[in-house]
Amino acid sequence: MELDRITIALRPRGVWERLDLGFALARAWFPTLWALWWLSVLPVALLALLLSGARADWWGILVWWFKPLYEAPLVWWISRALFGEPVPLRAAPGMLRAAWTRRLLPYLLWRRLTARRSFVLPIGLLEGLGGKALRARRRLLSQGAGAAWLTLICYHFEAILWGGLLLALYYMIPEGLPGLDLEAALTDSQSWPYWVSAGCYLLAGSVIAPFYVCGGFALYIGRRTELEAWDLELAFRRVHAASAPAGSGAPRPRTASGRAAALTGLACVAVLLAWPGPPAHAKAVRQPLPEPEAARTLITEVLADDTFGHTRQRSVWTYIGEEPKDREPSKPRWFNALGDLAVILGRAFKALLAVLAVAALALLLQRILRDWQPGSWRRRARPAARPTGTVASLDAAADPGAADLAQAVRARLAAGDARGALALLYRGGIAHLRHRGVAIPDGATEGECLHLAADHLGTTEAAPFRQLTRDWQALAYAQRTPEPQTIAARLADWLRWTGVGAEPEPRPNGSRQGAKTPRETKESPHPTGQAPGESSKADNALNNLGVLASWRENESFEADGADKPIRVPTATRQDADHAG
Amino acid sequence: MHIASAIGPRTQSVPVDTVRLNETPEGVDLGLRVAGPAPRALALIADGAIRAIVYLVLSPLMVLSGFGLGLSLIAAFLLDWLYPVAFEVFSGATPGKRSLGLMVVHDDGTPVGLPASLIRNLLRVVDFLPLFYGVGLLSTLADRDFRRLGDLAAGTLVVYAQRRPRQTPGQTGERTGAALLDAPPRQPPLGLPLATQQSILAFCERSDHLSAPRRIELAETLLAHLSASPDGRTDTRGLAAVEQVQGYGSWLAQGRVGD
Amino acid sequence: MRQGPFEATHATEWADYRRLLADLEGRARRPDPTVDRELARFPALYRRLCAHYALARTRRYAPGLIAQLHDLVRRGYPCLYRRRLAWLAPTLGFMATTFPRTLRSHARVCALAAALFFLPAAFMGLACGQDSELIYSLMSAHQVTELESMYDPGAAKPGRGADRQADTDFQMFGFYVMNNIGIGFRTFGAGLLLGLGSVLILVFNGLTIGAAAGHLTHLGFGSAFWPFVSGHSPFELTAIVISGAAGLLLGRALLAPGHQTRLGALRANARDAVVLVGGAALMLLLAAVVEAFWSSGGAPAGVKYLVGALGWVAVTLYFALAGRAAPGADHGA
Repeated sequence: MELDRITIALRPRGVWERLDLGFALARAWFPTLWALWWLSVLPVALLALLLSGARADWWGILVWWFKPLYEAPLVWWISRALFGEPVPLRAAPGMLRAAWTRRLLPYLLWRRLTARRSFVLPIGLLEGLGGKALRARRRLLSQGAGAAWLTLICYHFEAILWGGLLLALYYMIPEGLPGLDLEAALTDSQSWPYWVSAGCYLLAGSVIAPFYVCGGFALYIGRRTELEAWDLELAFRRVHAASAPAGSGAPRPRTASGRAAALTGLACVAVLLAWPGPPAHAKAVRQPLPEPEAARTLITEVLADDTFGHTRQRSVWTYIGEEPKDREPSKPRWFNALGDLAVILGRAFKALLAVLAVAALALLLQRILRDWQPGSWRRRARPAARPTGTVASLDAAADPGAADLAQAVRARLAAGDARGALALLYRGGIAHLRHRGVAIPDGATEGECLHLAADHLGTTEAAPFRQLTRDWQALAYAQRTPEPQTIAARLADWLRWTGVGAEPEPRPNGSRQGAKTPRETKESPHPTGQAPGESSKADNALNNLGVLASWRENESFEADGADKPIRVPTATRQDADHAG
Repeated sequence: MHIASAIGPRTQSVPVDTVRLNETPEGVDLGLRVAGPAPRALALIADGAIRAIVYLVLSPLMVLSGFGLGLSLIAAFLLDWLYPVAFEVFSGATPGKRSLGLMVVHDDGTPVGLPASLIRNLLRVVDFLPLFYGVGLLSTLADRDFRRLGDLAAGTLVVYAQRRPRQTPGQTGERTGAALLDAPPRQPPLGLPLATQQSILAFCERSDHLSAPRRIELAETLLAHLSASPDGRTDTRGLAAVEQVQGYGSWLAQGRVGD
Repeated sequence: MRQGPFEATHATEWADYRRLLADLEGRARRPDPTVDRELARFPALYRRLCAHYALARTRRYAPGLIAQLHDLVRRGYPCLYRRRLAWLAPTLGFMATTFPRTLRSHARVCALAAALFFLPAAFMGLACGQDSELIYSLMSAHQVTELESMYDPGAAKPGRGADRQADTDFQMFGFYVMNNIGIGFRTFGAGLLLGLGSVLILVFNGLTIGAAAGHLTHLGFGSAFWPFVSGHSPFELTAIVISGAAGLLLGRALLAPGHQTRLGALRANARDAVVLVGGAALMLLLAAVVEAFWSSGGAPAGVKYLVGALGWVAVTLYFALAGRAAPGADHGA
């Protein structure tokens, strides 16, 4: 057994999460567990067939009663598989021998009907305790374990699958063939449908059993983690291996288990845990001893009380039954009033519903017409400053937007805000790409923008943007602020790029596509939208972008801190939602 | 350094767990703790009980003859079909789910929206077959994330809502447990792997919930395994061992400043 | 940096974040105007919390601290990425644009569903019009008698005197809502059974409706039957067909997923299908209003036929034209 090969994630969990972990385990190991279950059922079922004299009802009861016999091998197998030592099915006979021991006997006799069966099985079978110690241990672990819930739930799951199977069979047998008599399947133990029903039950049981056993096992482990910090103990035991080559950080897990591997046998888990004996544990949750006695006297006191006289009130109850006779005459009047009220309400609701329906239809019609005929109805207010070809048709010198942006960038440079200047310039680059008809989807990264630009414009044409992107990425991700001269050079490049590269024909639809992205609906990001010379406006716009917000925030980031991964700027989703 | 790459080292084979990691746009992994069939079945029963109570409360409507009958039919329709949808869209979970600490989310962890909620609840028709969610049960048992067919089609998960911290997190010092702050710091052995450091911190945090003998036992175990001798014997035993480990924790948490 | 100083350094930020978070989570109940101004800080604080959480994990701080930060981040995540809820405008937009567009994009499936419904109906209607016994192959004798008494033009309608009319109408409205929309939903859901469920429900409903119509006409009860059904049938029948089409979409995803995985196809199709079902449910609601308050009313048969014809025209126009925006216009989703 190797401690560091434990196959579940150990940590403190709530009761339901422990159950879920068990179910996840059962799912992961289902084929083996299922096969193992059948392997242990088959001999018992055959034996039961002989014992019961082929009577279906007795057979069913016998097979049901010996359920712990099929669950014990699963518990045994799980205790191995948990530490990365799944025993192959070939070894099934050995497994059965190892699992069917004397310790199982109580669970087949007087403990068969306990509601916490799958939870107490691991305690009884694996911990190697007996007598008083076992009882104390069981009591301690069972508190608040939720094991009875598991049994109750799995019992119902079984019933649902069993009933579902029967019902599905009932519906699926085509007419003409002898149909499945559902009544006989449940009541008449002499009929063949009863055998079918018993078989279905066995099948349902086989599906649920792995989940039941694993659930119980996970509850057991969870309880130990809670009470004894079992997960910490495992972690501490692993330390030895990891720190043995002192100083070197490289863990060498395998050496750890050399010692532990010697410990085999059913009690492996228990030995590993160095079970310290009940007194140490009981202390945590021990109840004061005299309490049961006090409770007993209290109970007798309560029992001696006159509380039981109340049962006689039943006779009074029939008396009250006569009273309606008195009311009977008044009832029609009262009833009539209600009837009138109903009619009035009915009329009111009828009118209301009719009005609502008409109003809804009218609104719908208006909406349809508005959306359908462009221009005829009140158009939705579009952002006033759409880039409608002004930039495209003009050269850089005459373009107020470009000039405006250049001015804003220079202003920032002059103010020493290199980051802001480059951010603005990069935005300008993106805006220009959009304007050239490059459709930039939501949340594209800088790299993706560059790819799109290169695809659409060609590598040479996109070269200025490439440089700009490089600078920008260096600033945003590596905190390398470029020299102001570099930024000035980029600005000159950008002006040349937007001026020379602009195509003369405007693309009215290209800008529309942009309208879908949240960035553009939020404000008018294109610099043409800003009044000339107002760098504070540009500032605002950028602040709104959220892009810059994150960059700025980054600047003030903890000195020893790791960098943050930034994806580009997807604005919040609600904006996208409301674009329509 | 990219944060997403800084997740702790995983063991060779990924251990079975019920947590699904979901990377947010900020680059951190949020854990969604998916809920299995057992709590979901109980939530379903709780919801059934709530609906039954609402039916009972509405039954006096019948007095209003036809009108009342109409109203109760509409109520029946709403309860049958839209009860889960309304609760899921507005507050993330039906009252039954809420009582068990569950909620419904998209599989990226965002709150469930109207379309997804409609899909998953209308497809209950199929999950319910052939008897009391038989198909749904099989599907939840078979799926890694415990999803029934409706969840699969809608792309939703049923997860545990956030856990309330055991102590009120008003003061940060309070939460980490007294042991972290009180014990005089002691320098742990050099070259302690991060995982072990974290276990020591966890020990300090949780030692209040352990019985005293168990605490001692755990501390002794750690010290025994820390000591270089393969036999695992140390001089420090008993309460001294606990103090020493808590000292390690204190040192790991705040350095020497405590001195 | 060790854990203690780390916590101390960021304690104020975390406190701020917690306060904003508490306000955002309790927002539905009582918005606090004083916090409103501060809310602009939330995204930035949230990102910092994310970073702190990642740092705490990387540096293996105490699990309790990590759990606490994780909890904070997870609570913040849905607050930031929440979809805003609004009702009237999105519903109108949905019915005006999304629903008819989705319908047109799945025109072939819809046509198939219509064929599965109307062909059996027409066949059964004609057959029952010829043979008065045929209806008993679908319905029990009791059901047939009930059907006949319901549309017997000679019989006075019990419980439908003028004074109780409004009362009964509302009862019927409730019944139509529960029954018809329920059928619509079921037709959709059953599509998950490889589409078979939807096919069966469509065909069976078609047969039943056709049989009833044919049988009643054969008996000469058409003067009561046809005016009654003419008003709401344009909405009701098409809505059932559309629900069936939505179910067929699910079935198609499972049977012929194309280039996707079955699960992927199912999700993609379910997204469209639920649009269809939602639209169909609203149509059925309209049908219930019409059926309860107009069809049972005392308007002359001619008017009722006219309204029915107008309904068919409106539905056809709606499906054909609504949501067809000017080329290039983009109204979002």
